[in-house]
Amino acid sequence: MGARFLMAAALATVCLLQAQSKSPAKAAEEKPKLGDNSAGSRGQPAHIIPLRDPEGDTIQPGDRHSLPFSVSQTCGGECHDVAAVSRGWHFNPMASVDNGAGVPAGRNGQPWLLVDRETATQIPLSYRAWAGTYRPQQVGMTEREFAIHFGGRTAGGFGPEAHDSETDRARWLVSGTLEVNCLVCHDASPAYDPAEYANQVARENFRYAPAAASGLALVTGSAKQMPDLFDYLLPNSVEDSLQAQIPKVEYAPANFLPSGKVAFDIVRQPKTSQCYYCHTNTDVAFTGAGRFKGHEDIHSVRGIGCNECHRHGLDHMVARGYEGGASSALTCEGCHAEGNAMGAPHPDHEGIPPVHFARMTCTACHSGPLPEQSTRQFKNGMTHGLGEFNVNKAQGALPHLYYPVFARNEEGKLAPNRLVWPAFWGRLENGTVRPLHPDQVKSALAKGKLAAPLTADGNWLNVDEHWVEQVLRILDEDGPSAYIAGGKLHRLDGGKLRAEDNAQAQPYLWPIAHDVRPATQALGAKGCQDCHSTEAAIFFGKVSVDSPLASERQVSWTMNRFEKNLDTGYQSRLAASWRYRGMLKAIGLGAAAILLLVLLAYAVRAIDRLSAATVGRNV
Amino acid sequence: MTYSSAVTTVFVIALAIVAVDLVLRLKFRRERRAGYRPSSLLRWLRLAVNVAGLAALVAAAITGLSPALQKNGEMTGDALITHVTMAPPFAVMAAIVALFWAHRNRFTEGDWNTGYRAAPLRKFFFWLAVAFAVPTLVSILAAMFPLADTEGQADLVRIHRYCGLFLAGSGLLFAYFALMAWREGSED
Repeated sequence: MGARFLMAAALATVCLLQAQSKSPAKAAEEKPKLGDNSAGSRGQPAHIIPLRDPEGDTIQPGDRHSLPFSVSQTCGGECHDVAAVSRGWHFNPMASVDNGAGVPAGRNGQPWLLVDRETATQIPLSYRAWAGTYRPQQVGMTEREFAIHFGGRTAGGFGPEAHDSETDRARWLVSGTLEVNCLVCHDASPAYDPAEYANQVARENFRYAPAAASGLALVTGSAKQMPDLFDYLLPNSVEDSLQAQIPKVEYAPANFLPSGKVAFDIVRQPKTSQCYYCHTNTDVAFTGAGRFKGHEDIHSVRGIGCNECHRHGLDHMVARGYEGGASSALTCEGCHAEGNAMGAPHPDHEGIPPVHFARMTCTACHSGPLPEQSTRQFKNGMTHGLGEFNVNKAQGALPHLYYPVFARNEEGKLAPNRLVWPAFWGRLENGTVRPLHPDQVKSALAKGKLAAPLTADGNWLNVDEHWVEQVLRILDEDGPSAYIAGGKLHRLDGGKLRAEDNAQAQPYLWPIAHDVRPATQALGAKGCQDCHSTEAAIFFGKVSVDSPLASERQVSWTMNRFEKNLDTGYQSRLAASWRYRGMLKAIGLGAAAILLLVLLAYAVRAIDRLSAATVGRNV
Repeated sequence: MTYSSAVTTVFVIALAIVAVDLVLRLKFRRERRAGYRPSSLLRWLRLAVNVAGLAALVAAAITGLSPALQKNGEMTGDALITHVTMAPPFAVMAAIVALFWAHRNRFTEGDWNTGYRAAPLRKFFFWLAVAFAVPTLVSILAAMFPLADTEGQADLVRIHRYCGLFLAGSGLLFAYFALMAWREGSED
């Protein structure tokens, strides 16, 4: 009895202690941070805060050796749960594949495009599992290389990985991590310069990039030039020849308030122009002198910002807004449904047979440019570096992106898409092509003295099939190789170049969501024959084929090649029958009128007879 | 009730009416009367109209209802084109048949007091067919104009399908009873 009592008492004590030790920690974990727990005010909270360096120490204007402020320390120290934010769409691509974190890939989206003009390479990359894209690792690109190449167009979220090489680990220490940069979207100050951010990333000044972009500090030097053993806390320990390149940060004292704090112009809802820095898609015809011809999305024209629909909570899982996605209330249908909470106009779609809504997305008629006999070319903020310093403004600058291309989506609905034709070299392994890193191809070009002069406008090299044949001959020395371009796989067969169809040579498509056109500019606004004619671009338009090889650029694909299961014969017959539609209406209405008159005439007579019968008369 | 089961039901009812009529016809067998004989030209014209009208009705019904039996009313592709191609001849013939038969199908006192005869049923199904023909045509023509919204469009198509179904049933019964009445020698 005594032993049992003692054991029970001991267990109870252990449980009590455990409960006492866990509860406060758990409570602290669940307690939202100051800025994440809204009191409900619609006002914009002032962000008068101290700058904190990567170590968490406060930065003062008079510091002798200033350090760059860290966004995660400055924003996340006491006020915001940056760890929760960093799981959002803008920061989580690697979580979708590498870490097994289970972040769904979602529908196909804008890929990163690795462009290397010397090797005629243009390959879509993504960490998300989008069919038709390649994970950077598949091209031999490390996370660090990816961050250097594309990080300037991201909101950060790159750092050392467990599988990094020794060199990469050392270089991460030199450059710092490219941490989540809240300011990219939320700093509305006119002094914030995203181009400077990209510039600093290119110089591998990862830990300095937010400070430089914020306009609060001047950053000089380049971590790229620093040796592997460089320590940013002891910057002067490098050899004399590199002293001028040491990354340094200098704060403007005028930016500090008397309290030693800094006033950020932080906005809860980013301005559309901030989204546009990365998410601009613009027709090449509307660049340069043609800028004034461009159109805006009707929502923007009406003053509706991106964030009105692309909403999110602290997790920053921004609503992507497509049917079947996570946020059904923030889709076209969600906002424009009858009696919607947004007050968006509900379209009646008078006269449009319901079958159209079952088989086509809203975007098919309302988004992107109206389809023409040939696809158009556009540029993108992320892939063309629009707005960055010294950007190539030539219309032909790579990568070459095309739109609108009508294709069936996963639900089988017809939808407009953007398109890129992959062009890359690779090894043929087990029936598939493993892409080669451009540097590997450059070695082959150097070996065979095959380097072709670059074009002045940033377009494809002026090369032909003979050049491809020669390059493949050298690459084949290390194993069977192939070149994918223009929708074809090129390989040597018996010493001769052979082009053949291949799944990996298919263009990569991703859906067009914007710019949205209003009803008056929608496809079909001019009548059914916008689509139901024998030359309707939506079915019979030409999709330009892009390739470094001029001969392949002469060819085009018909739009319906992308519209799986489309009965083109039926579409042609339906279109041909449209000319008789007026006659059909006239005959039908005439016949209906006669039938109605007959019915009425005898109904009147019948009523007359009934009435006469009531007074005993026959009519 | 699905559209395909509605189609089946209507035609089962139509067949039942025919079967009942055949039974009653055997029970109340009567001599063939000498009826009104129109001129040769008019007779041939009537015959042509009747045959063409019946053919147009059958063609429109087959092209309209057979996809319904297969796909529960979903009519697309070439089946739709075929049906729409049949529509103008059917509409024209419907109007002509109505003009040719309306006068003869007036209800008279004789319809109620001459025993079991085909003519009254012929008249009933004729007017039923005419009554259904109007919304059948008007509904689908209205859908071709920018008048109704998405739900209205769906309603118009539904009206067309159901009225068309009843038109097919009553039209075929009219044809049957017209034939029976002709056999009885009735022309009124």
